[in-house]
Amino acid sequence: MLDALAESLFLILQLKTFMLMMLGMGLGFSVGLLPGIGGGATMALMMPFIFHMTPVEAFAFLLGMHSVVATTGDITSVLFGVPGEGACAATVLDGHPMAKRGQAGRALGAALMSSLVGALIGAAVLAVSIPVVRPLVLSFGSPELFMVTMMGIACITSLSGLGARGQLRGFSMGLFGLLLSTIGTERQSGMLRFDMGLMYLWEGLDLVPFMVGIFAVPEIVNLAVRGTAIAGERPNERLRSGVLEGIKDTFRHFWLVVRCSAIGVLVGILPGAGGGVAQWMAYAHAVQSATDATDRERFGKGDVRGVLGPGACNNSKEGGDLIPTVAFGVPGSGATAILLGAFIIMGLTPGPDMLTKHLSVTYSMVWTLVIANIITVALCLMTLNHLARLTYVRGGLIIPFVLLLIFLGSYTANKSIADLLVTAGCGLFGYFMMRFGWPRAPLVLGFVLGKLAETYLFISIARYGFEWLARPMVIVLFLLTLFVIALPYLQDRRKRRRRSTHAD
Amino acid sequence: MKRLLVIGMLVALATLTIGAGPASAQAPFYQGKTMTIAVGGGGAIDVSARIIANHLGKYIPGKPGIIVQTMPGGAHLLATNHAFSVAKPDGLTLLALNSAVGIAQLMKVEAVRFDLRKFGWLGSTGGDGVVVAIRTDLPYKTFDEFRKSGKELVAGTTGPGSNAHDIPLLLSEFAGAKFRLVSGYPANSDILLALERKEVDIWTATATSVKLAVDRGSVRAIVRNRVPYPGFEYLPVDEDLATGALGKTIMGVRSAPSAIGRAFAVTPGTPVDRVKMLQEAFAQAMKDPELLAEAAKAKVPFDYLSPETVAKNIAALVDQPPEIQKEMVKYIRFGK
Repeated sequence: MLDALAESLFLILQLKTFMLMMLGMGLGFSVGLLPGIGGGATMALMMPFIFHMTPVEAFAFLLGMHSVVATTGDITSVLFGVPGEGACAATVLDGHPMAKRGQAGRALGAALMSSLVGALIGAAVLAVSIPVVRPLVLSFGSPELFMVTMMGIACITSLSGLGARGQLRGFSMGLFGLLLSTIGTERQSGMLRFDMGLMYLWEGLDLVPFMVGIFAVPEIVNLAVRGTAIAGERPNERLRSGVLEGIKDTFRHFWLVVRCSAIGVLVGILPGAGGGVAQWMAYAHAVQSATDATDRERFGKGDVRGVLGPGACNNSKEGGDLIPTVAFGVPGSGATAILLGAFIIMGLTPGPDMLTKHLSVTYSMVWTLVIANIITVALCLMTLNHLARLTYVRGGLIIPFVLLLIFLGSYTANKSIADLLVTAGCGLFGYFMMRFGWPRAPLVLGFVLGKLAETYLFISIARYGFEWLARPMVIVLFLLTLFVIALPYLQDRRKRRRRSTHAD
Repeated sequence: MKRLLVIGMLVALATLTIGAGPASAQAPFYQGKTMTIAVGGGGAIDVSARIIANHLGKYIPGKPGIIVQTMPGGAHLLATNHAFSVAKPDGLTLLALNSAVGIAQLMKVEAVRFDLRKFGWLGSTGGDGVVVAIRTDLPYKTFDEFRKSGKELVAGTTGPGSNAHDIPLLLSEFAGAKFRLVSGYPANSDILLALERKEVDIWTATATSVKLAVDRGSVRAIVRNRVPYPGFEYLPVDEDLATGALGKTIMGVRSAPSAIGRAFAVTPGTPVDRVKMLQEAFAQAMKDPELLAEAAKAKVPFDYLSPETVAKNIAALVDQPPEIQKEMVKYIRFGK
């Protein structure tokens, strides 16, 4: 195994391969900064070029681009509140409020450094877990996968406000998200639901226009209403030290970063779950790390921990995502689905062969993730100061550009006018949610998890009747879910008890 | 999905830069133009379209550039509708057909806005048989052994309309096999994964996909449809296993899409001489050694079918007497 690891490092470091990786990264840079235009779109565009490459070269080229996108996507999330990628939406929750408070540099530093740590952990886990990965993935049947989605939904308790009112609002939004996910072709019977006679809705609402509408449009409207720069009238922070502060934050909360990276890898490994889910679980975990209710209330208003969690997670999940793709041919996300096409063109079959006969190709992917991330973060850190200054530019100058990018990005989802309507509609809805204090994260979480939950619940019952409820893993996951739900209440009680002891 | 815009911009750029020079009166129509191949989704059809796009241009006078445009939506109906009526009949837009849309036309699905019989067919890169496979650790070596055992097996499917669903369904209805269908897996690879963790027992897919799994030792092939595939010729054909005439007919019609295979077409109304020229170019491209090497590497077996063969197979699918159509609707639904 060590031989293969070393061999593949040399394969990557060959001049041609390395140059191709750099080229891919260059493309990734330009795309990652555009909201909505994700790695999947670019990867599809790059496919024609790989016909004449060797597998190692092709994957260096494609993954080099891909790993940059997850990192740079965080940048627009922080600066404009516009998720640069579907998987970067959770960074908006605390990253953008930090930018509004004039701490854009610190938020960016934290996002990038945690991304790097996350990517390294993800790659390390990928490398180490290769011998045991098949039995691990195979131990998760449909019932277990259903319980994982339930655990994801349970995170809503942490994503909504405290108290009965906040929780009620969070759960109603989560349920509404579940309802929205039922639009389109039902997988089991092929029936169309809520399609309103539109072919556009056959495959359901697309995540990109939906998410960009919910998160980005309200921020832009808000910026226009305020009529100031993003950072308001605040004094210019000393940007260089801001970035440095963010880097320090990563190490101040190092264990949080490690735990969130682990969440990213684990959720990434599960076939079908993907980055859309992992980021929210990581964010929820960051919120759970709050020591008490007052500490918890800082989240959503610009707490650096809310940036570190999803930042680390959405890069570590890249390593995790590759596992089901490489070992089973089951893509973990949109981009890895396209990566599968590259496997076919290269004449490689995802499956056990990738872990034995073509192990060096698999390891070369791990190395690409590592090297590309280090280079990206180094380059980004040099330019961050200039980027952070954008938050001091008058809103009127920023809004037209960002709006254009938002709608362009949404339009790439299906190249349909309907994409723009969905973005505008969701934007309006999102604005009122923000205005009246309804949490947006549970809505998106419900939407992302809905289809998965339905699929696996149906299969579990169709296959096992109700026997699946007695499977040991299902019971363990059920107890974990209960714990996730109860955590905020436990924290609340602990705080009260502490207060009463103080009073004595 | 999101690639479309970027592709669109590239097309615009390509047409601007390449098409800028004034074409002289004698210049071939395709000189300096860019052709588009519309395809409804990924998989073997997408890969074929990309391989064709790499080589077809060489054989067309004027050597146009060719790009592949993915148009997801409506289980390939959107792309087919687009090529039928939205695209201009100028021979610049090709359709990489997913022949399953023929079933949609036969079932009179509302969203169908095309008639496959009217497309200008260029040929096909080959039919692809459909094969039923079971887990290797099960005691049944053949379909007959299983049928005689009277036991029930669980078939994983991606939903009605898919090979994974329809073929076991028809075998249960008309050939005395006991298959319990568990539908809803997102894709074929998810069924294969479920097969490995013993959640399901049987899986039906194109011969190309099943061959890969058989070579890996994860499944054993037991039944095929009428379209033969190298290495699977020995398997019993589903139609021969049917116990009655109706079942045999329905299975025959259900096999028609795999006989058509990965066919390419131009919009109806394209000038006849241009269609003829494209047909010749397609036939020549299919002999190109580089194209065949790319196809072999991608493990998508290319086997040229002439435009006449494609048209004949399309008719065999779509032209059904009303009574057969009525019976089919009971068992087969269009889906992805």
